[in-house]
Amino acid sequence: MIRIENLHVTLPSRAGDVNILRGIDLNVAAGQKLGLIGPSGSGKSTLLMVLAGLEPPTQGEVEVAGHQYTKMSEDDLARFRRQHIGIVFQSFHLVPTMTAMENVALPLELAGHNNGFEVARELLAEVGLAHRLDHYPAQMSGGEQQRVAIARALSANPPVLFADEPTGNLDHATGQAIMDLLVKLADQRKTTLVLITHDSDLAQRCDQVVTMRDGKIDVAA
Amino acid sequence: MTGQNKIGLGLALRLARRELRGGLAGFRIFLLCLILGIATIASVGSLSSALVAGMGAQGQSILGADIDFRLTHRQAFDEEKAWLESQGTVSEIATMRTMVRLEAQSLLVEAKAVDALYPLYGTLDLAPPLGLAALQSTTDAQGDKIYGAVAEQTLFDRLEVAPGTIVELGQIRIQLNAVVMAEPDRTAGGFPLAPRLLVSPETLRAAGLLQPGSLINYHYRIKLPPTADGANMLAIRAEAADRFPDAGWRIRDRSDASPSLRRFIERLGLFLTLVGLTALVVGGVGVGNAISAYVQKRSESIAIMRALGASGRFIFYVYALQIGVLTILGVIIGLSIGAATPLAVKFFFGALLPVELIAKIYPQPLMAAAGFGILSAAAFALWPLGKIEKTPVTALFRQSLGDVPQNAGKPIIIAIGLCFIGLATLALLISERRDVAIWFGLGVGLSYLALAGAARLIIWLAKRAGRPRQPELRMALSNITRPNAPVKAVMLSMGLSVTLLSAISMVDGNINAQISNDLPERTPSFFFLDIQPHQIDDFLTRTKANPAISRVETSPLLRGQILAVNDVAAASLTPAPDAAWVLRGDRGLTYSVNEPSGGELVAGQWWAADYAGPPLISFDVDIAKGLGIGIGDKVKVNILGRPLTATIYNLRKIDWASGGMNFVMVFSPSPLSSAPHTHLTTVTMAAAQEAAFAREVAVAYPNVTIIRVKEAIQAASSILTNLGLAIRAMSTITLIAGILVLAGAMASGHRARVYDAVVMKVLGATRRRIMLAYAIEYGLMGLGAALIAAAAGTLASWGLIAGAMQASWVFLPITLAVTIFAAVVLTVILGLIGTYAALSAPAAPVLRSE
Repeated sequence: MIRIENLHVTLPSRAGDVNILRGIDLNVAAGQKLGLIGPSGSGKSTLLMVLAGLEPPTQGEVEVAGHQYTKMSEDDLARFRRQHIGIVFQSFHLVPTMTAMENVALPLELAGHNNGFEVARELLAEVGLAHRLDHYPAQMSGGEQQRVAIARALSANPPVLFADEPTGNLDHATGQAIMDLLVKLADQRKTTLVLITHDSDLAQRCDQVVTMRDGKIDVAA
Repeated sequence: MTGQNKIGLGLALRLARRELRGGLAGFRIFLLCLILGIATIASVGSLSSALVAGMGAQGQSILGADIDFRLTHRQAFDEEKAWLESQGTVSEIATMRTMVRLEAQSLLVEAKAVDALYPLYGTLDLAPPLGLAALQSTTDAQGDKIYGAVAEQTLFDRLEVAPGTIVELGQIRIQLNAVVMAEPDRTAGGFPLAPRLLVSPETLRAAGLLQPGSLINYHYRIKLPPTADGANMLAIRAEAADRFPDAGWRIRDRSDASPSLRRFIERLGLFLTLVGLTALVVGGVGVGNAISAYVQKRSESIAIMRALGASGRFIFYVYALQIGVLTILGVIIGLSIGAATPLAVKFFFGALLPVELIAKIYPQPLMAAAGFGILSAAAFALWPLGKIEKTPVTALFRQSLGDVPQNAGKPIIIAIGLCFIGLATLALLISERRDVAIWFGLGVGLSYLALAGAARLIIWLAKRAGRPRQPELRMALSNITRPNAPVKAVMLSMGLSVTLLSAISMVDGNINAQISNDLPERTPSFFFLDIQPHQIDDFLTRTKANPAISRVETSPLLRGQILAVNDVAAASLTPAPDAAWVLRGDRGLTYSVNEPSGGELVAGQWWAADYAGPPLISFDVDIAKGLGIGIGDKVKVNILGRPLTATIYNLRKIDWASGGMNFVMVFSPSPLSSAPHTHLTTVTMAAAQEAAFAREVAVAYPNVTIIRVKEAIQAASSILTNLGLAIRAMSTITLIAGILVLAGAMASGHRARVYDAVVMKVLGATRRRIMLAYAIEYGLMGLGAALIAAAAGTLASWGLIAGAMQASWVFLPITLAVTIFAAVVLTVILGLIGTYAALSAPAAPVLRSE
């Protein structure tokens, strides 16, 4: 489902170019759950951004769900994302001016489906927010916002789900509940999950765990 | 003041200085809006003052004398002439409109007969430089006399001839010996309708144009000894009025050589200043927004200071001081631009100006501009600053003042009110036409309120529009209703600019419609002036015999100047501004047995056909109202040097827009019918035969002046078009202010938009779809602003055309639709330009930083 070969990402900075990713090779099979751990600055989030088509690679090949990113424009990538990728962020990234239901329905609406609100209602009920359909992000707790974000990420039923520190902004109990929900939903839908986390216990719930260090995959780990 | 307060203010100053160390990045729009408005007002005021000062300094050459006595129809009587000559060196000039002919062509000219002393001041520049010798007569090979003349280049161009050509003037032939390159006293006569022709007095007499009653102005120009000052001229004026109270002459001196040009410059200056003030009001919206955004950015610092014990008032001082310093900076820059404008205009466009301007610093307009700038900055800055004082610490920590709708305190509201009163007072103080300033201020104020109300209405409607299923529309509506949405800024900035532009377009369109559509249907083809009594019957017979002529109207024509009303001298009267022109110089008047057409009797009755008693007048009702007179009042008029007192017998409502023969004053026949006079005749005829008829009249009656209405309208129309261009150019400044405000509003909401765009892209939205959402958002705001602006602009144009100009107003839907469409498109384009950066922002850094 995911294939990365010799991936390099170099970003410019005031102090000069910074090599964030330095030759990553990685394969994830369909329906597998991959845990990606490593210290801060190791390149985990950048790798996820590249996988989501939000950061262009400097060198190397990225193929997700049979599509090679290098040949796709920004708008092609946006269209690809709405059909194949769901993303859950640490900071939720909900649209502040939209209600929970509108946020969840948005990817479906953008994909041209006209049943977005029905699906959103079902998904929000599934994540335990049936009573929060018309609430705005600012009116919900962090845990609730993350549930909305998970529901939104899964609303278009994507084959691939990326989660970047989904429990990073939550307390331990809420984090555990969110993780349970994420794993349960991914299993139910046979979604390929790439989970970035600091927490090796959370990573252990995945089929495969990869450690990153200094922009490379730490084979020794 | 207590010691504690002193310490507080000192600390506030120190803190303000620390905050400003961070640079002016957050104040760019604030400064630009302020500088634009102040620079506009200061530039217009300085330029207008420089031109008026230039006219004053060159008064002698513009007027062609130190003091000028003008008589209409007649030369000075011997006693008058002797007295004039006792004052200094006297040069006599005669001016009149007449025709020159060359084969099949006849051309209206402004003829001027000058004596050997001309010009008393300045230099007549001819090419070739022949001097007044160019006006001397010669004889041709047959021994026939040919008189010398010189003319402006336009005359040569229109006749398509070169210097040396012989043309006909009245009954004689004149040779155009040279081109007039510069005529020192050209501007004193107001806006010319035709090219200048300079001849000698002998030539004018020989041409047979000096007929009794002919419309000729005689100028007696006096050169006083070099020591003569303003007091001498006042003394001469006083003595003239005392010794010759009924002379009917119009006296001008070098201190106000061309009052019509001065009035024109001052009025245009006033109008453009008011336009500049609108730019300042539009900019004020940007000022308010910029400060709101700045305060919001500083909310954390403010909250910390409040938490550490600073009072709301102290924080207010800290930020008010910063705004004060920046306002002074804006004022200094704006005034510097304004002060430099006369110099720049002189350098780049000096050759194009009617008078040489005096480039120096004019404190009065600069002070007015500074006053406008400071008051408007305060008026718009106090509201967001005042809210800091009232906002609780907890709200500031939430970093969104928009979430906490707070009113400023009462003292702040009073201070804002005082600032607006100050602005209105200043506008009135600098305005010669206070009525114009009042209407303008009311218009801007009401438009502002209507637009602010419309902004609230749009937000209210967007909130109640439900949640449309279409994501782009939903996003657009959400953006409109979100806290700190730019709706008010967009509506006010674009709305006020477009109001001004739509009003100008509608006024322009109406004037063009009057000229190009309305007039030709109703107005005659020709005005024939100076038809002598012995010629009129023959002339009318000729018109009857011409099948192309559909209508002929004729009236006796005399010129007269109102000397007094009910024994109060004209100079002591205080007429309404719209009626003042009637007292300025002499006016055309007529007598009639029957009620003339082109008007309607609204008070009193027409005199009996056989009435032969003391003179009676029929007066225009609006002018009578402006002069504060009515039926039974006595009006003393100087006609041909003789005073005549007549009683107002009735009032008529005249349709001035009819373009036909209209007279403010119509007298009963006796005794004017026996005074020397000419006839004014209008002829309406098929356009194709106009040229032939003009030629026929020019040959048969060489003394008759032919004014082709089409040409006169073209001349007036080109002046109006140029004026319209100047006013539009100035109004563009308001639009620039609007664009700046819009840019400021965009900048303050930029972060939120970047975030929205990134999240939408993450979820699979293409740039086109995000762009569509922004386009809908700005389209809705632009449409709202344009509709209000169109209504306000229409109302303003109606007020100007139907009210001030008393012309018939027509609604111009296409002009208005184009204005609305352009406003919406402009708002959308500017909005999209502003949000394009948000759209192009790479997703990863934004997602990482949030």
